[in-house]
Amino acid sequence: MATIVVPSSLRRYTDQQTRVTVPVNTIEEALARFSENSADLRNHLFSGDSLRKFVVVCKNGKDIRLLDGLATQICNDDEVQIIASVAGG
Amino acid sequence: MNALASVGIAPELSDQELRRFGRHLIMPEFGIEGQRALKAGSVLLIGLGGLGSPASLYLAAAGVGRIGLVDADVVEETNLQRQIAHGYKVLGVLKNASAEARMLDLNPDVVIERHDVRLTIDNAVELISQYDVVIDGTDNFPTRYLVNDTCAKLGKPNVFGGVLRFDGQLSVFDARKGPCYRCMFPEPPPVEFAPNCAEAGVLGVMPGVIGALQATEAIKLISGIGSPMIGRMLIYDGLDLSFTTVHLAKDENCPTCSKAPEDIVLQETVMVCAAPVGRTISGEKLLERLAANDDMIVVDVRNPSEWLSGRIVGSRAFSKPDLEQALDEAGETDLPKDRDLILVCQSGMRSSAVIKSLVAAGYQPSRLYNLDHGMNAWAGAVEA
Repeated sequence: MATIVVPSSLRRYTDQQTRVTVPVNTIEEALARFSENSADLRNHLFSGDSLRKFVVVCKNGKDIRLLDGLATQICNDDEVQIIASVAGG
Repeated sequence: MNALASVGIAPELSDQELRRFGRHLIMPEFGIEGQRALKAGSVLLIGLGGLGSPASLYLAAAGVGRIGLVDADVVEETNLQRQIAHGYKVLGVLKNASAEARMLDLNPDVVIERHDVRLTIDNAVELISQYDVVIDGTDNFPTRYLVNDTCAKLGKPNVFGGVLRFDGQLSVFDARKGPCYRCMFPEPPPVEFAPNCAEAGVLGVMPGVIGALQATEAIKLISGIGSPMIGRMLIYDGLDLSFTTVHLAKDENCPTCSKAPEDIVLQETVMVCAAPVGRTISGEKLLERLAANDDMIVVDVRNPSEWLSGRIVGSRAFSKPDLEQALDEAGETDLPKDRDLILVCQSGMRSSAVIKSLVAAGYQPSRLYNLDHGMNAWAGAVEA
């Protein structure tokens, strides 16, 4: 089970849960499972099959673009962080 | 160590400065050389709001020699929940003037250069080129991309901070040594995914934490101590009280920093809607329809406190949370489907989201109008 760390801007889709666990093998599967119950959430994260350009996903604190992108493998106890850009100041 | 200090041409410290900065000077990693480097250094602080408030005060207090302030706004009461450089005594005063007075009270030796303007593509290069380090304390995506692109073009470190609700982010974008903001986020979100603090709220202390950290990074960069947050981003979750550092990728195809600096062209960043639904009505057109007593209902989806503080005459209050709750629970609202509905919020963003929800609940898009730019652009009568 990998853990998705949910930023507060997306917690309305997770009943305000800060962490959601998913039994999967890749980042792509994890995000698909994470967003399977909400078209709005899926739309927030993806444009077609690609991650949106204002969303960064990290595995254990490393941008998945430094790894294998959405195909990055995840194992038990891995953490998947979703970072949405925020502009408030 | 700062280059000026290391070659011995940084300014000497006065007796008063030696006393004031005593607690810096006794730290061997910083010492008198670090303090002299700060005095020789300069920072451009863009935005004197929630992030800029603590950053400005700490930069002045720490002894940065020259600080530029870029802001054209005046202090409003709604700022005071988080913008602690200001106060009730300066309501209506330029934020730059308010901050300048507080900074000089902390350190009368700091040179403050006020630029009482908004950062634009016409003045960005001229302003940013005059300083060693930039702190991005702005509150909107277009200005953040302009700050990033200008810093990349000029080879300046950009100390980035962003806050929203209970989230904070901090990084140092220095295109010479690591990724830039566009490497991380090549494009801004569509407006419906990009609420600002006025739309989504922010816990007042969040920019306090991030703004103070921005000042820390600027001081480190100037004095040459420690490891700046280049290639990393700090994610602060105020609800969990967790700080997480993530490692960022430099994009070899970055639309900004993959280019030679002289080839980077500054452009306006336009915020767009991902999928506009329904229709848009301008303030002028709505004024005409109100004057003609057209059959329609103006629905203000802001929070009750916003509605009470000033609303379009005759508008009905139906906050976005209440409206969405009604749709969630009953699948409908008491708003008629056979009349034109004019949806209003502060900027046009929440009302746009409401229109999408109403269309999903069976309302005709052709009957739903979003007031363009919301109350921010409304020039007609207001009742409170």
